[in-house]
Amino acid sequence: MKKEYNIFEKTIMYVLLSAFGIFMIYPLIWLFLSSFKPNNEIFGSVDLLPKNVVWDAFYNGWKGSGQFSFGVFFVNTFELVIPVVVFTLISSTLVAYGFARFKFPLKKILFTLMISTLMLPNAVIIIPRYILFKNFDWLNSYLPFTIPALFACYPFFIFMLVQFFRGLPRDLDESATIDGCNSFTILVRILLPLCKPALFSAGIFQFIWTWNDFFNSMIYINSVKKYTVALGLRMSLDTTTAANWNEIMAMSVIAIIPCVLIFFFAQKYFVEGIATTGIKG
Amino acid sequence: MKIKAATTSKKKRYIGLLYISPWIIGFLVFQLYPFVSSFVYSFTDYSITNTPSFLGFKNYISMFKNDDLFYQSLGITIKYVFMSVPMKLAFALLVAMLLNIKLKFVNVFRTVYYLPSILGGSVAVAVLWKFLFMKEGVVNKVLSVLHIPSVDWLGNPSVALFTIGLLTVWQFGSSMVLFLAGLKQIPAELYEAGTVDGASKIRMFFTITIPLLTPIIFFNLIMQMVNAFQDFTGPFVITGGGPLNSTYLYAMKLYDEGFKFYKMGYASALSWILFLLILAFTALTFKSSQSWTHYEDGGDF
Amino acid sequence: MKKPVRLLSMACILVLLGTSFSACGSSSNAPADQSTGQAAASSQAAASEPAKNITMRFAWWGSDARHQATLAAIDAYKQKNPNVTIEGEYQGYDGYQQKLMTQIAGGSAPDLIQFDYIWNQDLAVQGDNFVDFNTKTDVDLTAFPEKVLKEYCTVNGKLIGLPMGTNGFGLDINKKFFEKYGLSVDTEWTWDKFIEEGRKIHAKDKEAYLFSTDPSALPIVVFDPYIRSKTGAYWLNDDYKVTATKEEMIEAFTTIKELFESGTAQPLGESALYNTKLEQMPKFINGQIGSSLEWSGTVGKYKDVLKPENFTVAKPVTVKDGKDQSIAFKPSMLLGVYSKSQDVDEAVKFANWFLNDQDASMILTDSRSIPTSETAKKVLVDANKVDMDIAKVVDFTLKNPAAAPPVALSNAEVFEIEKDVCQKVAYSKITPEQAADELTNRVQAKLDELKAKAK
Repeated sequence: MKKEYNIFEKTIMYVLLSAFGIFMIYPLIWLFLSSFKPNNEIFGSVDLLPKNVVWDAFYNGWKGSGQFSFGVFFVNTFELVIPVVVFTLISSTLVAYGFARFKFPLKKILFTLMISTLMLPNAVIIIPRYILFKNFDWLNSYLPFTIPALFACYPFFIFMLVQFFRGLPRDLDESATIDGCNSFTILVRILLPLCKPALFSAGIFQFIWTWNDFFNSMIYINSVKKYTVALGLRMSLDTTTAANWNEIMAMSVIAIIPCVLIFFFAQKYFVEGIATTGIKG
Repeated sequence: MKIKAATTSKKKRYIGLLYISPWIIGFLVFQLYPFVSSFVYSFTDYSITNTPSFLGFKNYISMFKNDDLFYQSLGITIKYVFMSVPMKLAFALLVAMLLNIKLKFVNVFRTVYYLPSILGGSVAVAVLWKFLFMKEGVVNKVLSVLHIPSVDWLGNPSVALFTIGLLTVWQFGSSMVLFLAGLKQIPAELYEAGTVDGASKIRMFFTITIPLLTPIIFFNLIMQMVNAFQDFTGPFVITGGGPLNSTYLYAMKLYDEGFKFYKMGYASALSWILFLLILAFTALTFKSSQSWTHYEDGGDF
Repeated sequence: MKKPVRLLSMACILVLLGTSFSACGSSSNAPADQSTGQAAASSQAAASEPAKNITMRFAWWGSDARHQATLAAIDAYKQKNPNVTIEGEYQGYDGYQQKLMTQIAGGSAPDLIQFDYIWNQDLAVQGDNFVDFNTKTDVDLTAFPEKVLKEYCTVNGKLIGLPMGTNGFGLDINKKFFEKYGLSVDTEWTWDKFIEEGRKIHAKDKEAYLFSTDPSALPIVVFDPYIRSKTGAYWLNDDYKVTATKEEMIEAFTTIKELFESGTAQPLGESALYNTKLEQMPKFINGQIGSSLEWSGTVGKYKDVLKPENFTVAKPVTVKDGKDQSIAFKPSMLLGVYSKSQDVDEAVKFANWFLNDQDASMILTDSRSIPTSETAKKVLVDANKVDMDIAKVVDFTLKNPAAAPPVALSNAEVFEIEKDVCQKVAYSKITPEQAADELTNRVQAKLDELKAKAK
């Protein structure tokens, strides 16, 4: 929206945004500073700044406890997340296009079916899924994540892209057809460029959610050498011995850096507005 | 001309199916079996290590007749959904509108407002929320500076659910991002035309922005509602369902039945009741959306 | 422009599919070379046969210290048995049991499994999931106290696990707190005296509490021991019957009520957030909590947080003139072998070495509490490698250990009911009389259900 605001209005907005922004960023600051505190200060005091500074939390945390460093866990997580994001985007876009722009038999039933798969909690389908993946011999690998992504098993993104496609007028499709495009070209050359914000949102979400996934990763992955960062962060938490929380906090901070960077740099695709709908009247 | 039109439309019908074929395959291979299994389990006494025997409707009957916590957790969950979802969406929309303006450093602001969602269910969040809201925590310290009496945010059964709800509201980032994406999709020319016609900013907000945002508002509403009904990370890592079961969300009860008591059959029955509940609310929302949601594709689905 | 793009994208998808499916072949479950190894072994009558390469999976939970110790022990075993590779599948406590049950449901559990004895009923009653150590010769069962094997490790006559460590029960004390309020750390507490002193202390300082417990611990550290201490028996028995009388229960619930009303115990609303995590609670860290009743397994982390010089242990609280002064006791965890393992004998051999061998014991030290195996324990005690306070708790526990609790007491649903009722009393939502009724009715109903299933 290219609205013009005067200095007064802009200052108010800055103040508001900064004030609320503190609630958003305070936890991250606390998290970061905790990596310099010993355990009793992390839990015992509400002060932000450490009294007895611990300097080696990042180093020790990275080294890890057992046989593998966090470097291994990071590489693993990228190995898992990137294919999942790419496959999800491709398959969800295709399927969303089908639902949004075409009429075909049983469409409403299939759409309802797709959305309803979101309504059953994971806890009761995890065991049959585990058995299914065991029968495919996909356990202890990332296949239980990547192959379903290839087959659009994430209805959230299908539904999301359907909504964005439906926000684009059909006249675009029609004029493209007149120009000789087929359905696939319409998708790739006309609609997708207009949906860049949606695509990047979907990519960011899937990246972050898969990056942070704990329960499913824990169930399907056995070997510690294949652990993701989410698993690595929790592998030292036991009821009988105290963990080195500064190390866990340090690694938690490092763990969110890729997500933050991706979000920060993908933002320009939100900034690009749409100057024209492509139809000159 | 007529024949050509007829054949193109027939082809068009099946092309649609071709595009959704990845989902059809995915559904049949990866989702049908688990869904049907859990439905079947709900009629058995499956406890993971046994061979299940058929129980008929016993699980469902016992749920409605013998299980007090069933009603309690259902009530708590509905409260939770109706409290947290509107708040989350309201903040998300408000902040998205603010961040849609060309301010300096808006990139930094957007990232900052998205941070809580990135932190997600991290181990740190549980520690953090306790740290903020415990009796001698940061929030109470701030309140005492403002001469407001302390609140037992997590220990008082009447307040705890609200505090847990705050956790999910705090993570409004994804909804905000989607609103931003939706706002960006609104062609600037519409606002230009509006200004030329002499419309005020407020008027344009209600006649241009909101109507064109409705597909996204609708999506966010549905998805946040579906997620909120199944949410239990907050109570799971922070309060353990307490105090006095005041934060015992339905999904947590379901998880306990399945993975603490190993009554997977009963847990499956609980999940299908939840499914019906969510389906009902979603269907209602879909129906109502016909009157307030505006699609540029002509509403043709 | 259109055709090549479409062809290219199809090709990409096919290639990706192809490579993904080809990765299917590698799974780290099955050991390699077993059939060829056996063929080679049987075809050679002569002495030296090539030992077959075996890979086994060993799952455990723990923190860094335990992970490192266990991995070191595994390494030592590999030096002695170069043909045996053991892959550790280790993680924190959260989710371990859920994952194990899922693996068993899918038939793909690891060869060696660490588990808690309270999961026995869920793991081993239905389905034959564990190897019966009684039928194996490669393991020295005499090193373990027979009582422990029989009462905690045997299900339906099968010895499904070997005890890895022993947990005693004691009162963890903040020495500075006791000094500040003039209490002696050698006091043998009864509940009456405990509440009396606690009341005085809280009256002096509103922020100080002699005792802290949380909702999940209330049943285990107050209710169960109270009834057992008073009557000499647990409040329910092995025949699925609630045996404690209403009066006895009322007494126990009244004690709970008074613990909180007098200010002896920290309000549940505060302590509930730190279930098994006292070391994260500010009041505990800052010395405002006097004591806590705990298994010896957690001594390490509380001692750390309070600093060793401020920490000590004492016998747990009992009932005045109670019939039973014995102390709660349990194996810290058990080690079992999966019945579907491809290498049962090798796994049994390793389990025996891991728990009984002296070298193994010196590497593992007390990472799983004091070893139950006499041979392992002796070597540690002689070398002074056991934490002094843990040793003290286990010592006085073993001098007078309580009988094993009835199986029904470790049932998760029974526990939830107990927890719920205790909580309501602590929050003054119901009176002890109402609590006694509610507990009896709800638990008996549940026990009847369980008994019917157990038939």
